[in-house]
Amino acid sequence: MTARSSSSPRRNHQYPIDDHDLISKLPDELLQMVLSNLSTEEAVRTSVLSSRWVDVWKWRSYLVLDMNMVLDSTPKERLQQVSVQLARLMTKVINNHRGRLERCTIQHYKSQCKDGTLQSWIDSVTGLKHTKDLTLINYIPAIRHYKRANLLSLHPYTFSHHSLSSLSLCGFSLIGPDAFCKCKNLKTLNLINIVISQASVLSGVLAAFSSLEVIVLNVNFLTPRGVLKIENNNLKFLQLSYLNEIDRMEVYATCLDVLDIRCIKVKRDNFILVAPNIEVNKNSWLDNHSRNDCPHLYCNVSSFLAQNLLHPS
Amino acid sequence: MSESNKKISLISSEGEAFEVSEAVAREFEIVAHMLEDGCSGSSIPITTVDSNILGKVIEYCTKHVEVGNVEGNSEKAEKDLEEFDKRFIAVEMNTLFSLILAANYLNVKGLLNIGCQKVADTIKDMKPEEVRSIFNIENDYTPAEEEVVRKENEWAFQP
Repeated sequence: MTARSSSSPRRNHQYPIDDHDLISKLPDELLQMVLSNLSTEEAVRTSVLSSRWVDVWKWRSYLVLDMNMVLDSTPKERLQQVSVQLARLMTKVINNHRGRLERCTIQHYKSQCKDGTLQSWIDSVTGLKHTKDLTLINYIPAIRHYKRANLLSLHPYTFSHHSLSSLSLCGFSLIGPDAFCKCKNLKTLNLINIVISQASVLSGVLAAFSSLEVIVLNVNFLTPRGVLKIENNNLKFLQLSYLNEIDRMEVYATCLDVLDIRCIKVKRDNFILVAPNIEVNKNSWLDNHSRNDCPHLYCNVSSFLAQNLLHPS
Repeated sequence: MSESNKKISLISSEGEAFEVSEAVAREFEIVAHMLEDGCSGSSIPITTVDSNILGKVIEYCTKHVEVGNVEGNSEKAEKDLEEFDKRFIAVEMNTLFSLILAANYLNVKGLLNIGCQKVADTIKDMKPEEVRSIFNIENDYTPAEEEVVRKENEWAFQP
């Protein structure tokens, strides 16, 4: 915040501002505060009001670049073409934005995975804008075919920027852990609607993030077998919102304060949990006979995290 | 705190004194800092804020201190406060911008937030021409310049 405002240029108001135009007389910081209450689109649109406004939006601390609305009303056969056009305009917004970003959310189409656009967006918003919280959402038309979900193929070390502390991926297929190498500072990882070849690959991905404190998994495996192993001594929060059938699940997390199980398909004896802070009675939810889709929440009630979860202020 | 009954005078730009409790005065972060820095005087000049606006800011802070002091802050109290904020900030443009500038100067975060939110709500869903007319913004672009800006930011102007 301070870095942003100190690097903000003091504009010389060479243009006359009408005496009755009180809003344009507000200092940049206050105008930016006003715009922070608007969506990214609404904020960008203020650039046409007058020359006073042309740069104000460019210093906002978060961007949400979303092509879903347009794609939803686009015929299937034109999705690719329209998405490429939109992607070009979104690149302009990212390039025009100045300063750093706290948060960035990008919703796109699979074409941007394939043609390298997504890679260049990630490189810009992490490398240049030091985004702390990055969310990437792949547009998947209403009927979801997991196996056709889209491959996230990125360069090694893509998410290794030291500023990146939270990463959410939604609607992708992941192959290997390459893009996740050297993610030393990542604290939060959300994998939502993700397809991964098999459980052991996910174990490898998670092992690359040694500093993770929060993990949310909603993952489908192409090969519904194998062992998912999470071994992490910083982990405080683990949510298993969906995991299809695996042979075995092992969690070794000495600091785990919250275990939130929404749905998991693994036999009771094959779920190994070593988490001394929480008491888990597996009999209540892991059952050999019935479907295991009844949610369970286990907390270390004395932990700050659990307090916030149970009694949100 | 034992000094909760202590009174402090805030002096507006016209020299008018507003006597408030220390708790209310401390809602002005700028005043809280002065007090912490050992400024012991019982009257503090607020030279950039006129009586009308200073009175309103005090009204806002007093209400928030009162509600904050109620034991076992209930949901109802929070609702009431929300209602109060809504009514409080429903003022004409001149006053709104004066309140924002005063809240910024005095560092009253809650008031600054609802002020900025109010302006944002007014901009929301409006066409640029409408925003210009509401706020008396003079469009100093030539049509060609405006077209360039629009083109550059085309993503935000999707139908």
